[in-house]
Amino acid sequence: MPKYILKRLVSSVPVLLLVSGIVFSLIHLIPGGPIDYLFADETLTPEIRAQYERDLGLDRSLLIQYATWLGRVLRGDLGMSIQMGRPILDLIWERVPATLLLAVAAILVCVLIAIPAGVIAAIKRHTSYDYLVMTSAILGISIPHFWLGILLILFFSVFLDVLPSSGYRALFSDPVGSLEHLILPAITLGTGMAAIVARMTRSEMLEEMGQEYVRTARAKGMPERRVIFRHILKNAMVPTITILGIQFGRLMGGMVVVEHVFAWPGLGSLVVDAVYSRDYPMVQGLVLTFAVIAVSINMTVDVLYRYVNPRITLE
Amino acid sequence: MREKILGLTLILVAAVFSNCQAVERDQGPYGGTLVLGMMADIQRADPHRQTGNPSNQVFSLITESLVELDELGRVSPGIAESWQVSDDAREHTFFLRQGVLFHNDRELVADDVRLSYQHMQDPATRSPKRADFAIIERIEVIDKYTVRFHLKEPNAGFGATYFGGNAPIIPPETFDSDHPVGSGPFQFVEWKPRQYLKVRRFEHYWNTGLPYVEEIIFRPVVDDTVRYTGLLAGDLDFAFSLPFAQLPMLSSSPPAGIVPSIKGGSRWFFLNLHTQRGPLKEVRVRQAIAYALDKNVIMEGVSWGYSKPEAQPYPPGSEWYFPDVDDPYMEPNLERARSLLQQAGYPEGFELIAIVRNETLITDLAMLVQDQLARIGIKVKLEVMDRASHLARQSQHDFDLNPGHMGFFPDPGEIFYRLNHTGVPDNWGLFSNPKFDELVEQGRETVDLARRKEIYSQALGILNEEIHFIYLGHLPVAQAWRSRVKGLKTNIRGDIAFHGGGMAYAWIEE
Repeated sequence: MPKYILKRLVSSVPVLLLVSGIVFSLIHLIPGGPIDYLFADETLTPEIRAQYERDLGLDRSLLIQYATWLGRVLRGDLGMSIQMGRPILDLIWERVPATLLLAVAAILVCVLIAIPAGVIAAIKRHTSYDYLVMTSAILGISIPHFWLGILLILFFSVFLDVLPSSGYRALFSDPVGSLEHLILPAITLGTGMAAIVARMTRSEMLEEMGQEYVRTARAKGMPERRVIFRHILKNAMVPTITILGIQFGRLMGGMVVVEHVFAWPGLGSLVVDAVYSRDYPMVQGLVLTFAVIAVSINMTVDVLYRYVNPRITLE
Repeated sequence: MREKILGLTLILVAAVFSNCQAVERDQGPYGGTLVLGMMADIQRADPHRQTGNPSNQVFSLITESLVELDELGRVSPGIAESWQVSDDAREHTFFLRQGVLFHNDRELVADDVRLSYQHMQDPATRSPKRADFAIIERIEVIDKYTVRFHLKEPNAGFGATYFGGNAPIIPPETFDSDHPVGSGPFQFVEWKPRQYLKVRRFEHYWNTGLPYVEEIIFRPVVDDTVRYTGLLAGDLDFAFSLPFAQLPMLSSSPPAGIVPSIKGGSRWFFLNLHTQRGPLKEVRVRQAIAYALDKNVIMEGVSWGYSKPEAQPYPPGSEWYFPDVDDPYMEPNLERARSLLQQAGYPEGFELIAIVRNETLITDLAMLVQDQLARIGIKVKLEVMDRASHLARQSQHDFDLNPGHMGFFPDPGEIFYRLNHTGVPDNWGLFSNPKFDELVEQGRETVDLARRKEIYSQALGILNEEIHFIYLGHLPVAQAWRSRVKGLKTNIRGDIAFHGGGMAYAWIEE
């Protein structure tokens, strides 16, 4: 296992390089630059523009700019944000707790809804339970995050007045406040994912239920509950875990919208602001961070397969 | 030089300007916390490096400038109680209020003004406002409470540019610090990026007795609708910039506990035309476009009926509003528009490219323009883009039509010169008219207010004839607060800090 992990770590280096290279090229291809944005409300003379370009190294060739950035990253320095004038690493670290909290809560909401729903739908196939779960799943996939978020705010914050409409509290300094602020964004983000995972769980469960080992287990007189949870569900979980891993991308995409609606101070809004304001080093630093997280999650998912299904070998 | 100073013309010292404490006000109880829903977070906690409206609003409670605006956007005393401008408009002398304390309890004196301006001028500071200060040749400290600016070229409206958050005077010992210190009614406590910025009542504020509220928390809630629901839910006490779509309901039957504040604003809505590209080089084509637009429909449409069309950048009530200005384009005249196109040699019409920032108001305007110009055979291709792309296209003069809106400048020297004078960076449509240039240069050189009004009225006439900007009207200021907030007024710009009003004058009544 350690050898496998090491191998995966080494093979992720070219992936990260490729991602950073592509993003670097793309962000420079988009019209407009950080200086235009910085001076959006002020007069920008050619002299001032030249001074800023010189100071920020934007007057050099793209290749040199990329090499300089890469050299700094290898020394553990992501540089300074052009728009905010602060070290990028600090800005990212500031947002990590909020992002992590929301991501974990959303995945929890997703798993708590999706797995039981998928299992029930499979066991009660073609009954009203099944149709209810599947209709809800279709709705869950179709409803945009921002719309669901605003509906939840209207219902729970304005009509019932039981939860705050937006904002964030740190988990350790104000646990109760933190959970109160977390519920609506976590539900908004988690339900969309749950819809996909529930459908996946249902179809995998149905496939496993038709397998011979299930018939054998039942023939041996094993209690049905044990057949379902010990055998069918465990085997059905392999593709479900894959989907959960793939959902990371969707999670980050959804997070951008949810952070916007709930004024949540996470990495999603940071990356959107950075792209809009053409804060090149900030975009680069964030994309690299996301790429590292994505690579780590994929690796974790692969390792988890091994535990869920011992027949899978990691080569 | 001294003789010249002796001949100074005192221009802006009226009784109301002499002492802020003379402003009548109700007095409320002290204490409490207000939560304000902002459109965006500040980018930096450094008053000399911040820019943009949300930042200006926040810093306007913490820091102060030499002058401030009043409720109608007129230049009024700030740190300076009064000021004088020399006859040649090159020397501006400011007489500071005595006894103004910074939040570190040190008295604000003339040298702080000099050092603050020099800090903002210094290229190493990288102040986004640096270009505005390039006109300053040197700053002379006359005595402890008098400071004189010597300009490289005349500019009668020099002082007016530096109001509110535009040129905050801060103690030099706090330059480059991330804990802003000023002399405003509230002192900075802490900033958690994207979460909140907290300020607390400054008990040694020079305007004795103010402010009433103990603590103000600025919370960035970017989405207009969520900001509004936050107000309804009671999580916010005050919300900036409400969605216009909510205004009819908000004004006709405001929800319980909500005080709507919807009024004519100063942000002007425009269609900017290139003047040196393709058919638009021809003035008759630009006039045809102006005749083809239905300004009533546009202003009614985008503002949900809360704005009326205007033909000038200054709103009614402003001292630079010209009530007698003739607007030949107030009503659409398609016949005249078609005839002008024919005379210009384009009877069949042509295609134009509009650069459109992806902001609801502007995309709405662009679609209306597209629809209305189609009636005279002009096909408009909309290129919708984000702000940075739009700014780049605009500064590279790469467009035919450029719909947009712009904030208020208290002095027309700024708005007319900066956007329309030949060769200046913000003259996006490359407008050039020698007579206009001469007038706005004169406007900058002239100190006499009545004469300046004459000059800018003529300049406006040229702009409406030559069409670089089609002035459409002014967007309403749409804000609201909880009914427990008393004594609060915002000005024509929607500012929460201005001479004689704003958050410093508000109190909480439970």
